Amino acid sequence: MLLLKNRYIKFFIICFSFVCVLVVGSAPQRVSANPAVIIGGLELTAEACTVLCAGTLIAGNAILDANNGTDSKTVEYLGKSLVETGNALNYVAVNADATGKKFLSWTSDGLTWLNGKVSSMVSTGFYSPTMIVDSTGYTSFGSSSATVYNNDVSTSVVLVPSLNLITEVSLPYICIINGQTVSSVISGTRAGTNVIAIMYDPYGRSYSIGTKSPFTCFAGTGVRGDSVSISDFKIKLPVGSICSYPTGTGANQYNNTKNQDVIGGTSPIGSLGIPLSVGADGSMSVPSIPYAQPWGDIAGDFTYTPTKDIPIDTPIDTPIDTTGTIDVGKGIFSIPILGDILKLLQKILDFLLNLVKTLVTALATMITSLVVPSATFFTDKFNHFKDVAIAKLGNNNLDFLKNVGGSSLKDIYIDIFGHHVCIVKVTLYDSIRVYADGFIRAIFYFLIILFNYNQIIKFLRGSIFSDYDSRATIATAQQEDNSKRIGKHGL
Amino acid sequence: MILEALCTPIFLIIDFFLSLIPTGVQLPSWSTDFINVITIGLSFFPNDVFVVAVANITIWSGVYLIDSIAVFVLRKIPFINIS
Repeated sequence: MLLLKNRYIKFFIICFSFVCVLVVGSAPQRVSANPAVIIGGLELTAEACTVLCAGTLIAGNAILDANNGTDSKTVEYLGKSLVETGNALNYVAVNADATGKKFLSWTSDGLTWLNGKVSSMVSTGFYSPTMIVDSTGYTSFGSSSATVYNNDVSTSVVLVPSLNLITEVSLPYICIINGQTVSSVISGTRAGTNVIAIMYDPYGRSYSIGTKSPFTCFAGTGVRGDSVSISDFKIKLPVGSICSYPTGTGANQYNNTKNQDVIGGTSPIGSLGIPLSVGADGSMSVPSIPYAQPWGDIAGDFTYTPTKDIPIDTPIDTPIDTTGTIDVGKGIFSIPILGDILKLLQKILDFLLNLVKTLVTALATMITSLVVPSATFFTDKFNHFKDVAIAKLGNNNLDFLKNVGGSSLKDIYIDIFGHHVCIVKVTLYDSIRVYADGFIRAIFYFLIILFNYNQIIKFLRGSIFSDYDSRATIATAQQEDNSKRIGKHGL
Repeated sequence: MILEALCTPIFLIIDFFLSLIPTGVQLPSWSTDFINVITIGLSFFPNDVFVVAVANITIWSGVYLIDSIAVFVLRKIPFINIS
């Protein structure tokens, strides 16, 4: 009885442990697979931070190759670092413009961090020397006002007259395209004719607004949309700007000719940051980079390992930036002592999960190696039998075996009184063969099942492998019967 | 490995019977007739039923043969009282 109880207790403990491992093990796996922090109601993932970093660097004229560029992979590292260290809570913010449209943007500390990080990586050779951070738009965030601009131009291309040397701050502009507002400035000092134009790639996926001399497409601030109506494209220039309009020149002339695999043809970021997509329920999401190659194809699940010692950020212990709307409840890992304890517990859970996984994998491998025969075991055996049989019987004509299976019956005829008479018309069976085969299968398979069941019972009862041995039982019964008879006679 | 170990004795028995066949033997003429008579059953029964039935009978015959040999051998081992 005690043994029986122990069995139930052991079974219950095993089941309970298994359920606990499943429940506990699945939770940290999901967290580690897609870490995120909540900022202003936005679930900010490493990919979203990567988009923000890439957009900022592209705005600074960086060219990020989607497939084989070290820069691109390192940008992914930056985005991942922002989330995993918790720096995103201080460095990234969700802001809104005057119309209420929300953007994913940097804080001033974030721009300083990105500048320092990129400068450090450029100096150590991780970034190409041309990699810079264009923070002009961000530093002017909130200071621009639509009232400054009143020179609406409803055209796709605006030519700025030559001899008008443009300085970095001399010609800010705002573009409105399909209701989406993007503002930027013409950076650098340019001579000759300059263009502010709408450009789109040959596939119509992304649209960019940029400045450059004609026929040499330069991608500046990008706007993404499923379709663009040229009539909705407006450029607002400062008061007093002198503009002229091209004639007979369409926007198609300025198609983006860059390789579609190159991230950097256009930047998804505006001066206010990356415009966020807001759902009907108020949920926000960061749009993916509008290129043919999705960002996830670059380095898979963030498995890029730098070949040099990149300075790793330590988790922040500074007060959380209160300029943005921060959901502190989801950032519990950033709380000094409690966060450390939770991280330690998470590491322990990860260790236990990996241990269980390793044990289960090893057990499955062991069972497979024990039970499953090798792939060629049966094939080799039967080929061996065939080879031996042919070697010993090969001089016989065994072709008759190939005909086994066909109907060999023929009607039986006899000759009687000079007449050839059919006395057994066996071929009549062929007319009902279709129906008879199904009936025969049903009957005989049922009988074969009964036959096997009977044979199994018979074999086990009389077998050395069974606890119940009919032969031993019969012998014991006979001995008892004999003893009784001897007893009777003895009395 | 376990399945291979279970099948290996059966395969060894088949090997044993195959080894009993002399090399270069000529099948008697009646063997062809015997096969032809057996195949008459295929004129009335579906092939799968015929094969399954013959295989079942053959397998159980082999099982009882192996069981008998095992019991015969085990009975010779003292002190384990296999009757």
